[in-house]
Amino acid sequence: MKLKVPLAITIILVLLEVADYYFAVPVINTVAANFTVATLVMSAIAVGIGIISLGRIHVSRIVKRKPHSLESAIMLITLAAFIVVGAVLGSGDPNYVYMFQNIIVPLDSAMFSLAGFFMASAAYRAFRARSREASILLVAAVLVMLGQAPIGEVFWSGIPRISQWILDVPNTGGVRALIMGIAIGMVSLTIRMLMGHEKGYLGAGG
Amino acid sequence: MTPDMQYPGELVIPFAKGVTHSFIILAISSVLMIVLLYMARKGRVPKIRKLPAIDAIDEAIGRATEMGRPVHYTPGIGDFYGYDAPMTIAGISVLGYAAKRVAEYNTPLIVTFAAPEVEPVMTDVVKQAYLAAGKPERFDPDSIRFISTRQFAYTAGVVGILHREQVAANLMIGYFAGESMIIAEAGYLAGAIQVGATANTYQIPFFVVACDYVLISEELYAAGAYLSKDPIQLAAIAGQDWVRLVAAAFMIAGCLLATFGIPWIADFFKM
Repeated sequence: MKLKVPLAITIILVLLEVADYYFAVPVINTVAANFTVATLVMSAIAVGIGIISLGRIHVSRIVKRKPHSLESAIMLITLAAFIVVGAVLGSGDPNYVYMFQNIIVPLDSAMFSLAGFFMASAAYRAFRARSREASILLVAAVLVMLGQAPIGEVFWSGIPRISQWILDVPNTGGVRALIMGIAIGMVSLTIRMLMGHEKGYLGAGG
Repeated sequence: MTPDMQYPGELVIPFAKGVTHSFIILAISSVLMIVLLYMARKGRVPKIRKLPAIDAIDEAIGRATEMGRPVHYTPGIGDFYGYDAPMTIAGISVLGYAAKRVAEYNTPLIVTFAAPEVEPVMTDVVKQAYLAAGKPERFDPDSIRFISTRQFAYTAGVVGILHREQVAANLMIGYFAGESMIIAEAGYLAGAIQVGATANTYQIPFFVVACDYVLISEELYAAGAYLSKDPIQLAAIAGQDWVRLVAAAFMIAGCLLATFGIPWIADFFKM
């Protein structure tokens, strides 16, 4: 029963969403639209679940005086400040906007900027010409990088054309093959779910 | 038939605009896969190739066990709606297997995610895995950690966990976006063996360069079936390959016909 009920709900909703996408039947479209609204409501409720979970883990860490309790305390104070200011004054209030712009935005930017450095270190490891495949990767990457930078054209006017060809032909072909495989994989997963064989997401896998 | 009886009229399928060809392709694909499923039920189980990245999950958990360090698992930043939902579901399917192995080896497990709506499902899947391994008492609810709905706050949280908790195996299986490179490199710096899997084509190259093992493209969706060893699920994977062959045949035929000025197949796909 614990598996059958969620499985039945999944099957009904998957069929409803598929029918909503393919058929212009007002009843189906209306019911599906209502379920879409319901999912939005559920995701709003889920934020509450997330906050409770976050609070439980960090409060427990502080109470048990585990390592990194200070970071947990800072996180809880910041969370509480955002909730109080947002709930009392509203998310459009200048104080909330100030907090958002001066805490969240710089931290987001700092994290995202790390990606550039990590790309360089990962590329260094991946592009070492240790095998035939890695060598092809290295040559293609160098040509594309030179083609995208003004200096490439200074070396040789053909580099931007070769770079564009790599992007337009082998790269596009490869990506399209991936996309096709992904779409077919999604269909296969959906069919397994619809027929009740794929149950791993219900805790019945392994 | 008496004169007052009416004919039921022509049956018209009320398709939404521009999806007819897509529906036909979906129907053909589905029929092909369902046929293979029924053939598997009758004992004709197709063989599918090995997926080294999935086999590496055991290796990664074994290594973490030997080192006495935790295994980190994340299905990424996906939730249960839209484009990322199938990737999240596929990631959660693999979580069940990984959690069971972790429970069997008494290795600590940390599960992180960015969408709070997946928390009840993740908790239940991990709990069931510990139960299936015969060690329900070892399940720690604090190991299932919601970090943040904000992409880079989640990233910062995961990077912190990878370093602070000295994670020995980092399993990233699900939907990832711009954070994939940061998390994978942080895992590398923490010395973790890494398995990455996503169907987000923009992020696959990042996993390829930063992870030890990668599931590419539809392999992510095949992972749950592969791990289940259920012949019927394996048949669905073989069905995937058959559908791909049919699609490739359509493409080759379409190219040849278009070369000779016959646009039938191209026109069909514009329906």
